[in-house]
Amino acid sequence: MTDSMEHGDGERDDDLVAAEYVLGVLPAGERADVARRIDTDRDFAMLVIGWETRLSGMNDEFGEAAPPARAWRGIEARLFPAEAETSPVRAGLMQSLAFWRGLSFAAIAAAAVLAAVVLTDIPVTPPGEELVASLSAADSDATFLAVKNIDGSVRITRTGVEPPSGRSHELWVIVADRDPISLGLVTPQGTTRTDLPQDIAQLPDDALTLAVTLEPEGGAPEGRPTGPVIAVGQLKKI
Amino acid sequence: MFASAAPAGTLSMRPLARHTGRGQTDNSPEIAGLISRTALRDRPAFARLYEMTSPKLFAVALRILKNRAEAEDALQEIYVKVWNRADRFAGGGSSPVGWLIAIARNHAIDILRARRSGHDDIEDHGELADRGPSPEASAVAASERQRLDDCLGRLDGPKAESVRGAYLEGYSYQELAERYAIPLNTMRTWLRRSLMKLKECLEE
Repeated sequence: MTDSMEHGDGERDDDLVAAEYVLGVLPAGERADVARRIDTDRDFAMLVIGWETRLSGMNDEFGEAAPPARAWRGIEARLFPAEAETSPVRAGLMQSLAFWRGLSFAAIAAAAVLAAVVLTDIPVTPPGEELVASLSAADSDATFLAVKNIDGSVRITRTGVEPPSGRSHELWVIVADRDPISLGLVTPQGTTRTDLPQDIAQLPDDALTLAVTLEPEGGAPEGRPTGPVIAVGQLKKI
Repeated sequence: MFASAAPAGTLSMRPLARHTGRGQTDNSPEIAGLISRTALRDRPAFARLYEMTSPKLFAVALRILKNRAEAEDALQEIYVKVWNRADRFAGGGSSPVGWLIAIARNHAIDILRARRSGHDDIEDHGELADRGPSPEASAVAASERQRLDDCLGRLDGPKAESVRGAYLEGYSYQELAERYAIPLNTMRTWLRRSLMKLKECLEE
């Protein structure tokens, strides 16, 4: 082994650790370290996905076994414990806010940085009431920056990868206890402008989350998202 | 609202017909869509996702944990993770069922590793899960399985066996070393070489 191979060996070691993690042979402490790394190191996470795919040929061998019905009730009780005591609407809202708050934590941090870069591309608007959302998701190279104006319009700019050919990026607004509402397609180039429905535009600032899904070309056929969520973010004051 | 959509009492365990592989299977798009809607907090979609995929993930937990009560608990924790991490499923080329199985396997293996002795019930291969691959497994999944089988077949018998034992039964390095009566470090070197050979073979 020569010095010039050092770099390659590092990559190879990472690949081996990814393989060992996916195979499951590591002891608890090392597994926990690797799991943390997957959450923070994108390149490493891709190595893990590679091994998951490679070894997935064995997945059929697990067969199938029906769980008892009480398992589902247990899941509901764990996820939605407040349901019984609170009104459904309130419980839904609380839960949704908690979820989106957690989800958008990183997005908010990124928004401040991205805003400085991308805002130069966006027409100048009166300051003060603009909200910005940086849309992203783990395991996805698609990122967007969205700005909500005081007039209820939203402009969104693609900052990450383009949609694969034959697919479209579709923008949705998410509010608690309602189905996602389509705001239309995001054009691959430049900035797309769209208007929020009036009742949505009047909601409190922290109630709006934007998401982009990957849809068939031309958008989701029935007005409901069908493809994966490739980026999400919450609108925030900057 | 959700209560009526939830499958609770009437849950018919419609088995997951076709799965694994890279997502070119019949119900993969539907499952990918359900995961995305779960990310958008769509509870009926989550209930449907559970209905379609829980027989598979329960089988994974049973096979690895080899204990019905533990597997049942693990299954609940697995779907809590699915609910919480649905936004991380990127779609686009990766198999939705593969993604779910990875969550299930990782969780079950984490539980195994946390067990004090590390190998309770290891020899208990009881008839907990219906072991057979689904008879309807698609041609695509079958060809992927065939390729992996071929490449595993090129490894020495015990090496292929240890890869399969680790993946399917959740054996650790420690347990494998004991099984083959070789030092832990030797086992690690052995298995790492086997994994690299496997990768080369699969990429041929």
